Amino acid sequence: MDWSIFSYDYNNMILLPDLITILIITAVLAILGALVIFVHNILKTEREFQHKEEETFTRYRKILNKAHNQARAILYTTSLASNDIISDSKQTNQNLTEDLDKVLQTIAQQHIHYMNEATENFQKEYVAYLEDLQKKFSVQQESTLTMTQDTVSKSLEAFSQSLSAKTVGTQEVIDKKTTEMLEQVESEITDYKASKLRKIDAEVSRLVQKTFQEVLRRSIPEPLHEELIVEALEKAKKEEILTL
Amino acid sequence: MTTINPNSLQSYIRTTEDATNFLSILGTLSNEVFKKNTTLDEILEHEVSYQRGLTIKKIAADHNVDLQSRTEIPMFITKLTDTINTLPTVHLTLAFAPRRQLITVVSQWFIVNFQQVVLLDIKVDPSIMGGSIVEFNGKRQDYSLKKQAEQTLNEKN
Repeated sequence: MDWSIFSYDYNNMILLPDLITILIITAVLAILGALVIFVHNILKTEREFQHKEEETFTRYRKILNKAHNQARAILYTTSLASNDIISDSKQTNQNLTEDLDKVLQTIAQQHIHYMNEATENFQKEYVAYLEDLQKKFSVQQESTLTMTQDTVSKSLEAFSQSLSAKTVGTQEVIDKKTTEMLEQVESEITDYKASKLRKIDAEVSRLVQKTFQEVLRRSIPEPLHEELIVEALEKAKKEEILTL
Repeated sequence: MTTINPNSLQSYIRTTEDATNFLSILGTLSNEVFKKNTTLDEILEHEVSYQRGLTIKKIAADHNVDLQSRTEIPMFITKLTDTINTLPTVHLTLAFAPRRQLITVVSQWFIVNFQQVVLLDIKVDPSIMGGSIVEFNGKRQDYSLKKQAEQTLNEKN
């Protein structure tokens, strides 16, 4: 094998790969270093955050404990205060009720007094008004009675005068009307009589006819019947009812 | 066998009732003739009354029909049925139910006046008193005593 062709290049080739390898290794190391630093930073940040969070929680817990203790103290104080208030208010209520009763009794007595006074006054006024009204009514009644008597007397007088004046004329009218009505009634009676007579005639005719038919039917002998039938046939032939 | 003369039936068939009875008998005979292997003579002996049997025999004899012949009998029955069915019907209303003698008189009247046998369809209406109401071929006339009496009374009124 001839290695000469690689003589120069051979040296170069040995150098070149070394350099590239060194560069690559350096780069890799640098990247790894950077990664380690980056991860370290992240972990550090994470730890710091956790530490802060723990601190915050511890602070919150203290605050809550403190608040809880304060609330309990307040509740206790409040309970004591409310018991005092209830006790006081019971007393106050008792006092108030007694005072109110007294005031109400006073007011009621005053009202009763005023009412009695007012009723007495009203009664007096009412009795006086009624007496006055009675007097006025008596006067009015007497006056009305007198006026009515006068009016009735005058009306009766006027009516009797009018009646006596009209009686003569009315008599004539009545006579005329009576005559007319009599004539009308006579006419109606005549018509009614005629109508009834017509009905009676018709009924008599019907009865006569029926009796006649019945008597005739029973009294005709059979040979005559035969004769009448043959006669009917003869007529039917003559009148061309029978056209055989 | 020639046609049957309607006037030959005058002694036997005068009313619509007679015709109906006769047609009923002829219907029976017609059925029996086709059913049985017998003569008309034998059928008449068994199926029809003696009087009717004699009548049919008389009519057959008048028209020279051989009662022993199985060919002539169906034709005879058919022609007799047709003849009865073609007889004209006169409707009469009478005041009473007529006796046979009166029906004969009326029937004879038609033979004398029209030389024809007719079937009398008689109704009874006592209210007509007497006479008759005659109706034929859709034409009707009242010749009753009732009608005459009514006319007389109306004229007097």
